[in-house]
Amino acid sequence: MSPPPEATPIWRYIRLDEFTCPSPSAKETMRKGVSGFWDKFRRRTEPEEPIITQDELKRLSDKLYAQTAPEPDWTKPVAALNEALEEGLATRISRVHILVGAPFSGIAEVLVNWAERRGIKVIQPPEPGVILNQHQEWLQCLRNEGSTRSLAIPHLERYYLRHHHGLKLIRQLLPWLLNRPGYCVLCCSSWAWAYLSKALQVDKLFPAPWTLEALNQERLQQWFAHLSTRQGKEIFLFRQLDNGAFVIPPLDDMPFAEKTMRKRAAKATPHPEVSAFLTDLAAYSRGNPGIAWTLWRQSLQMAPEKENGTDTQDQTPNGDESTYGHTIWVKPWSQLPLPNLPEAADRNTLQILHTLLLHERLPTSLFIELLPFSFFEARQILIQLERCGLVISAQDEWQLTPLGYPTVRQALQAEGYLVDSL
Amino acid sequence: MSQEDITQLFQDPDQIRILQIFLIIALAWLLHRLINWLIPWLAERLPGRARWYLLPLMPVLKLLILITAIALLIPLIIEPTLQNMITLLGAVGLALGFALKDYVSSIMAGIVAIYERTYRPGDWVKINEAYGEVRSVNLRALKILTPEDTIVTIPHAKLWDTNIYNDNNGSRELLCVADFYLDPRHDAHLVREALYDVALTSAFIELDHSIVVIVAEKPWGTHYRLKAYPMDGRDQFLFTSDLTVRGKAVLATLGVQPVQGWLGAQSFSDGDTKL
Repeated sequence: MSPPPEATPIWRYIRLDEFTCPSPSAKETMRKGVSGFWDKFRRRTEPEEPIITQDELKRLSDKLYAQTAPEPDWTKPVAALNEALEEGLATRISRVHILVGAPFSGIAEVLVNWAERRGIKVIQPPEPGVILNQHQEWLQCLRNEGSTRSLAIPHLERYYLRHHHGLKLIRQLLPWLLNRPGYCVLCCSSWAWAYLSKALQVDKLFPAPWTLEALNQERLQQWFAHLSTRQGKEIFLFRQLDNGAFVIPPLDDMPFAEKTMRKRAAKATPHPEVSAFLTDLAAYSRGNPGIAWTLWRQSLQMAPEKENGTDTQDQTPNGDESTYGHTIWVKPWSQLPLPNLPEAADRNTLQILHTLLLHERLPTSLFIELLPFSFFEARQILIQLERCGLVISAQDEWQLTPLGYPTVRQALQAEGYLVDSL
Repeated sequence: MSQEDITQLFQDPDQIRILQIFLIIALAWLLHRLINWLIPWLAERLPGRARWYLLPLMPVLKLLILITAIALLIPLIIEPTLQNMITLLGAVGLALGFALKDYVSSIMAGIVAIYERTYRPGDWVKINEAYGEVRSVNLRALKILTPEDTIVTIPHAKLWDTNIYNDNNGSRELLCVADFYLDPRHDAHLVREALYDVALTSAFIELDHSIVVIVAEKPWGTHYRLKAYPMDGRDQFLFTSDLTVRGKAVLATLGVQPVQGWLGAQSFSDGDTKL
């Protein structure tokens, strides 16, 4: 039985150049290499159906989802952010601090929480029209806030557009922030940071940015265990569907844990006690909390009684309803349905996806301003990508889905597009 | 050389292993066909970058097959003594010198082209009037696919007496240039900055290379050359079009007019290439 994993803090901020991506398990590397190679030559895209509609069976109820994997609480990493920024403040190298985070990492939400706690004003981004029309009023309003007031800017990626008129605002904003005496924390998407670093050399203007350390297997285990026990009412066991290995090892003080472990020991099962699922999840999501959490929710399911076989007893270990512990079954990593790019994905498709990542989200009307093809063509591609579960539209704004992000990143990297460092 | 000498050159007909010779030729031919099919097939399926490593392997592999096949065949057909080899090479040289001079010249030039890497599949080259992407480098000639979707076959022998312009020389990116011919009455500083941003914000741009705007004052107006690299050389025409379309739009917002009239149009032809 493993001890309670309390040794390392879940959230930690590090310098951007110290970021390392978690590695997958050896088995997954082998499987991915062989099947990826084979799929390439067969020109096959595995899931024909969009991922959203695949969950007709054995899904957890909303209530159970809320109990086992509730929405991440972005106030938790605030203490870690505070620690990182305090260190920066103490060195007094600069009054401007940069945070860089991958999409869905929640880093901007953490900054907003941090700023609200410290009573720092959070600046809202301008409308795209303001950027494209190069209006000076918006910047003047910001200047009127005063040069000594502390500011937090959580979405720097929304202060520019990759358009010949779309860089003026950020070119004026950044030197102003740098030269004013007031304290300021900027948060930027890792994709926008990569572009701005190449195009405007912003990385040379500011000190090294901070980023959230990748959640490795150990941290994910801690985090998911913490999420599932946050409600405090019920305790869950997370076991892998195919071999029954524990994805999150149960704690010693769980009333039914000892019995479950004993039973598995008695069967002398050849499978490892702890599954490699979280190692593969950490590697695939590149330690990104938002993506790992979404994939985690996708993998959870309640198996029908008959599929549980003899293990059904594990679900009611003591027959005592007051200590009833749910066994949540986790799909094996290799069986997790992940969205793929459509087979007909061409240059235009990749350009749309890349542009979306550079700006985090975009309304349809802006695609024709930023890309060299028609509104009709852009819309057609976006709808196709939406069917594949790679993008989603909300309030006429398009953005990538957390499930689609790793696939899109891999495809863009393979085709030589500028990618982020996270 | 007497008839007896020539007959001594070859193996005893009873000892010549016809089947073995046939098998070597058949195998070499099959491997040649396999390379012709497999490498472009792999290049299409693997990520874009792999294409630039795979395609140039084609001519090298073909040459290796040819040399290996000849090296295996010679001892099967002739007695491999020094005297016989000299005699054979002399005879072959004489025959080639008269009958197949141009053909052999092309093959030799092909070997030089492979060794010197004058062009490789995937390169964008201009040889005489033909401009396009090198699709294959065969033993005698190379094939170029032009932007008009026409295949042009050019013998390697052109290498001896023709200048060969290679735009990307084995790399994925190649320099593109968009030209703007403007009425001289404008703020050149503003125009240069605006054109720079046009390239900087193109969806095709490769940002690892620098963007350059060259300005030259001509008798008819001002000539701007916007130079930048696309991510993929195959996108060069789309990239140049994108720069031109967006460049015109940004110039229109600045109120800068293109150079007008017959004088300007006439002057383009003689002055542009000197930049």
